[in-house]
Amino acid sequence: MTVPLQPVARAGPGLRGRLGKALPYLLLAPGLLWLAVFYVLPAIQMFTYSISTGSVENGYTITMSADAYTEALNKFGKQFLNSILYGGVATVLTLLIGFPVAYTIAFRGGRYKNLILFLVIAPFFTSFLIRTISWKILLGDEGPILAPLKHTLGLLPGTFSILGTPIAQVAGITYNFLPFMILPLYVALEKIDIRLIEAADDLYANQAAAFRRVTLPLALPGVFAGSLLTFIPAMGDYINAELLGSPGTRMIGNVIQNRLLVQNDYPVGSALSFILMAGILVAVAVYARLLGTEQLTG
Amino acid sequence: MTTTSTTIPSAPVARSTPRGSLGQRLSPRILPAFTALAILYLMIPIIVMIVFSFNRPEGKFNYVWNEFSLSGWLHPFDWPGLGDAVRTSLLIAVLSTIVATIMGTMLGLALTRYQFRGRGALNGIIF
Repeated sequence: MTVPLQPVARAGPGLRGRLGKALPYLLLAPGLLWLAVFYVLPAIQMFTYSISTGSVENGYTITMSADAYTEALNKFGKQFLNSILYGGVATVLTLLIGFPVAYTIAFRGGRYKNLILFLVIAPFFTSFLIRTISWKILLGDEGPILAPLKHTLGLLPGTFSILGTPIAQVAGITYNFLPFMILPLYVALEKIDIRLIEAADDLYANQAAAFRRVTLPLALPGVFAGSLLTFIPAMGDYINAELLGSPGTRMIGNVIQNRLLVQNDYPVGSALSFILMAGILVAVAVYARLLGTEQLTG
Repeated sequence: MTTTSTTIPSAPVARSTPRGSLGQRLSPRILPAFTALAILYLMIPIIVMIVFSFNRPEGKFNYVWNEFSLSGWLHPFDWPGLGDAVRTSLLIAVLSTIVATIMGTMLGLALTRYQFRGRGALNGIIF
């Protein structure tokens, strides 16, 4: 934490003093106004929709009805579960893949450090959609991976497919969010003072013990940040399910998108969004408690 | 590990010498190899995209390899409206970067340099 300074306030009373007092508020005003108009107001609007009844054509009236919430929970339990399951598996996979990569960049990167970091963020230079479509081409039933395995080598039966299965979908989500896991992990690992690991070594810890008791605890803030940056958007993702999954693997993001943009069913769509938001908040709170928040925010 | 414990006493010097077991000899290679594979995983869709940019698709969708063609690169703005779309993208990207930088700098300055009521709460909300 930086030490708060009050350089202008010391100028004493008078115009400059008063300006100094108001200055932080003046600096805050545009940003907060922006957030209020483009974040708070839409959220309130969504909440009003979720307790309203009506249709797009005839308009909505606030009826304080919880119908939208009951419908959301009763009809779409499976999609909520799919979101938790696929989002969760993808998050664990990004952690398992991302940690060794971040560790290598931080401690073994040497002169290639910047190059590898560039390669990690290189996917962001093209659209999320295009990269997912690339996976669709690659994993296609007669695509460049499966066609040779089926016809040239004959290792797989002709009906075998990856596209449309949970495996393709989870692989796509893992792919799309991997950089969001690697970068915070790298930042956390990079900050570790190498002398702490040397000290563990000097105190007769073997490599495994030094890793478990020094490196890993110090990397936890990165694990926390990375898994939130992965899990939260992965839960709401609908592109991967749309392009790589099948109707049975749809996630809650697909339902929300469908209700709000295709069926124009604003109450249920809004109710679904709020349930998702509440679920994520609870999950994050539990997760923060499990990992120990003091360590993370301190 | 069994060979080391018999030949080298548990003196501090022992830890800096290379150990005999297979795992110890392979371990310096495992991490770079794993990282290379992960980077490949990240690069594959981009490579596919580049390869398919040289494809002449049979129908509307560019999902199946048909034949080599440079037309995508020679006539990039053949699609009606594409030029306008690129212009709009650039304009919006530049404008939103400017606005976000100004507002973000102001918020950041206020949150780190000044004391005011509600500072902690605001910090919590924004992050």
